Amino acid sequence: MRPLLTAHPFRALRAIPWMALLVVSLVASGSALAQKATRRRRRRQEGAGRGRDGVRAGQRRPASEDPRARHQALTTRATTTRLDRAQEGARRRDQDDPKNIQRAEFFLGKTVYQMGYYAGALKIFEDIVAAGPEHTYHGAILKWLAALSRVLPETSASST
Amino acid sequence: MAGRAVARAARDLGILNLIGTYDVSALDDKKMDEVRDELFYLLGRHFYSKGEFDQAIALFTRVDINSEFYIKAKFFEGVTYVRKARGQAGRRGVQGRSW
Repeated sequence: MRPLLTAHPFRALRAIPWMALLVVSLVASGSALAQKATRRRRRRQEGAGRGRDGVRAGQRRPASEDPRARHQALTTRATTTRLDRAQEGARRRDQDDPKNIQRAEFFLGKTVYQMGYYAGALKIFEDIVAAGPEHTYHGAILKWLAALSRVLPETSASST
Repeated sequence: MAGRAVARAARDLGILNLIGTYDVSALDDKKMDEVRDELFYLLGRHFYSKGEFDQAIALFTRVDINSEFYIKAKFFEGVTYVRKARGQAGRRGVQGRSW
């Protein structure tokens, strides 16, 4: 029989570094996992109540980020671009074909109506009606007059 | 209520006058399908304001029953009948007097 003290201490000594390494690695991975969990918990707490786009419920977005404001700005820009074009056409009306001028008048009236300037639109439509059936859009205006009668119940007569 | 409606009718005269420049046959156009009933009503209002009651009644009665303007047209039709009858009574009164 081999004595215990001659064989075991040697074996035990050989096993110590492996055991230590195992313990150290277990502790290290455990603390890393704990840190990760803490970070995740903190992030979750910070993001609580936010929508998909990171805005808290009831919190007002900045005007530049609000999609409705952006849409409104784009629509206004598009409308004013059309209006600019119509005005450019009006500036060069002497050089243009009468049909094109009539078309520009009609679209100017429609644009002004869409921009919400109903009294202005009424003035333009009045001019088209005054031009008589020779105007290409004389018939088409009737529809817009009906639309104006809905939005202009109080001030439907233009000042001129 | 009728007084308020008549006052409002007077204010609406600008657009009504513009619509009144059109012939009723212009409303038969296919493009006018969406607004035909509204235009019958508005044109009726124009003739009503001019005192041409028969034409006004004819237009008010052409508004479709499913239209949102049907009730308004019926109301003005009634008002027109009342004014028409009063006009006749007034005329009879004037004719009966010895000037």
